[in-house]
Amino acid sequence: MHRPVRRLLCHMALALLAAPAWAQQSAVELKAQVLVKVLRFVEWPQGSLVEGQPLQVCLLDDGALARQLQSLDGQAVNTHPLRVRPRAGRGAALGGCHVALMGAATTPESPGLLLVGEEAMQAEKGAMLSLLVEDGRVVFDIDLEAARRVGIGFSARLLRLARYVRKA
Amino acid sequence: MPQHHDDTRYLAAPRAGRSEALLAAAALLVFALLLGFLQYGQLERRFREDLEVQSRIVADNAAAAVVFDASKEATEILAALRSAPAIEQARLLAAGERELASYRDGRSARHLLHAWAGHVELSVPVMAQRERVGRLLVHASRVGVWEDLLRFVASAAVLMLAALLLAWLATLRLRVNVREAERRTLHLAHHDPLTDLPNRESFRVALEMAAARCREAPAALLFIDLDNFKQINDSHGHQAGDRVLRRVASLLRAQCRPGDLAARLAGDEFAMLLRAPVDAESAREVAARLIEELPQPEGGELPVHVSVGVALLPEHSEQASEAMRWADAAMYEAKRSGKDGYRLFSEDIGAALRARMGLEQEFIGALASRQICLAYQPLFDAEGCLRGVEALARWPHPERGAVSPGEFIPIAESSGLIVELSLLTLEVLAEDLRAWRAAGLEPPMVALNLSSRQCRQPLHRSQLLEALERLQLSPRQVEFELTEGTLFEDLEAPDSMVVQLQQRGYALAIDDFGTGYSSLAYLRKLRCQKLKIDRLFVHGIARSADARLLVEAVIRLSHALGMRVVAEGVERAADWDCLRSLDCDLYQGFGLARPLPPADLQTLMKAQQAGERVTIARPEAG
Repeated sequence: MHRPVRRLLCHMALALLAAPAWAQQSAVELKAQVLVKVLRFVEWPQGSLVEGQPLQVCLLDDGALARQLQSLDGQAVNTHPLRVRPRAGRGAALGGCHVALMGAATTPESPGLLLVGEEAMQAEKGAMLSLLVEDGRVVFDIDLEAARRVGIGFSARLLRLARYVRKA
Repeated sequence: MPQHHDDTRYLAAPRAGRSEALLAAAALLVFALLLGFLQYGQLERRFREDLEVQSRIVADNAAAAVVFDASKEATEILAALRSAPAIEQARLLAAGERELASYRDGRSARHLLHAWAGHVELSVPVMAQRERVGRLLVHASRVGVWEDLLRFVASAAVLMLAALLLAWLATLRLRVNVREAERRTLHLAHHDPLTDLPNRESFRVALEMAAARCREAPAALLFIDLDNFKQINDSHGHQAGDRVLRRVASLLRAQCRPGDLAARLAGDEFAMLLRAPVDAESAREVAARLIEELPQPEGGELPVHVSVGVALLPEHSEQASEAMRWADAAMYEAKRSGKDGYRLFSEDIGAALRARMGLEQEFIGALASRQICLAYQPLFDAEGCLRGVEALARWPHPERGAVSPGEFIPIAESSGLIVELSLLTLEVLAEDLRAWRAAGLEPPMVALNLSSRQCRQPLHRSQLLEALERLQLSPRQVEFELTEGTLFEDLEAPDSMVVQLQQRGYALAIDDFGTGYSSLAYLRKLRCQKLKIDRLFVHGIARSADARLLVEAVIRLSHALGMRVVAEGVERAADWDCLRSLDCDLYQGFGLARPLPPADLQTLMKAQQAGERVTIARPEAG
């Protein structure tokens, strides 16, 4: 009876995602929605995000996506309300942040902080989740290795939807 | 061996094996059903658990696809259900019951079992973290449960059959042995182990079957009794006796034609059943041949003598038990008329038997109403002085007059009524003694006859001893006479009557000496006080030098052993004189005095008291 389980895991590892196109929506809107959906499958280290506690998204960038994200402030992700903290200034403290939207600059890793970027993994900017547009569709890459270093995990169910997963 | 075909008749034992096998099969069936039922429950539970687990895993895997609305991914995830053959269809529904993906297993060929086994519908939620984002609907066939069950039942049945076969093989030898033992037991139950002839019960069954159809197929019944078997046993030992029995058995077997039956009924009693064609003449021939071909004695053994009685069915009787009785009666007639004879049953024998049986009934009544009285035959010494009496039972029948002792004593012996007769005799004697004493007379010593029948049963022995004590018949008043045959038999018993009587001080006399075995060893061993010489030797002794010599020797021997000698049957003066000259002690006989009723004896006693003496009248001018 465990054979089906193994098979399913296998399938999961093999399949790659090409996210469906969302017509009539701009790439930025779609990116924001995908980010929120992805966050539902992210696991933060024990104690850093307790039940009912707001999920803080810190914006280190003030690009289009950052602006778009601000409009999602207050939306529920699992049991957490989304709290979007706009850019307070370069070098501002990232204390209390769960997610950080990186800008062009490299951001140092910090425990329990999910770094989100908009460039491909190959850019080596240190993003653990990259939101990209490919053939008019929003896709995402995941750097499992980097995420594991800061104690963040991705649900296996999500991984099969990623375009590219960097493994340890 | 013409005997063997008879065995099959008794082999009608019920075949218990078949019903036992049926019972075992039924028990196995019930057991298998129960096991199947339990297994079905187990399989059903497992099936539902597996289905739910599989559905939940797929639903769980599909969570991200549902959230991202990724239809293609969802379809791929559902395709994993292929490894769960029970699931035939599945639908993945996103929020708002919108179908995101579906799955259909095209492999399963629909057969009859499918329709019959039925389906199960299952709905499991698709959860993203704790939020329900859709559900998975699963449609599964239960056919796998039934296939597993059938497989289980089939293998269980095969295993059970194999186990049964093994058990059957393992007990094969045992069952053969049991069947052989059964056959032997059956044979033993119907045959006499010594001679291997059918036994009394087998013969009875065969005779009854023959009697039932004797009108169509006449039969003859031969009753064969060894006349002197006891003597052979006593003289040569039981092994010799057994040898004789086996030889007689093989003789009978040799006389059997196919269909005839020879059997051993009891100790020295045999029987033959001759079947059609048979008539009086051929039955006679067989009887004559049996007697003629009797085994010759080996090395100093006593010769075997038989008496044969023949009854014909249906001529003499159509009933088995009656035919047996008639053949037995005919055999007794043959025995009465001497050794080595046969007798065909006749109406006379039947009438005699019936008369005998009637007399027996009347004798029972006579005992109950105390019709029995005593006559006393006096014993005198050489001077004619009364020295004692022998008490003899008399039956004055109210209608027939006096019944001869020669008639009723054998009946009493053969029916066992002799025991009651003896006890009654003691009471009558006690009454007579009381009467004589009341008349102022001192009664002489009274001798009583002791039958071997009285000595056989411990109960009868104790009854006699108890009666002697109760009636105060002391050794000073009473003594006992026994025949040699009675002595022989009694001395073999562990608590011998003779020894017990002697211990109590009663004097014993050997009756009818010279007619039986006349074993001198017993004479010495027993220490009897008296020896009575049979009338056979006494009668005409005056004219026979041989008889005289013999009696003289016996008298000398007896005196030397400290016994007194009584001469029986003294009738003539010449014989009396002769015996007196030989120094015989006491004399008894019709010439001196017949058995007297109590009143006449009283008269004799009075005369004796007055000094009168008895003598025998001499013939005139001899």
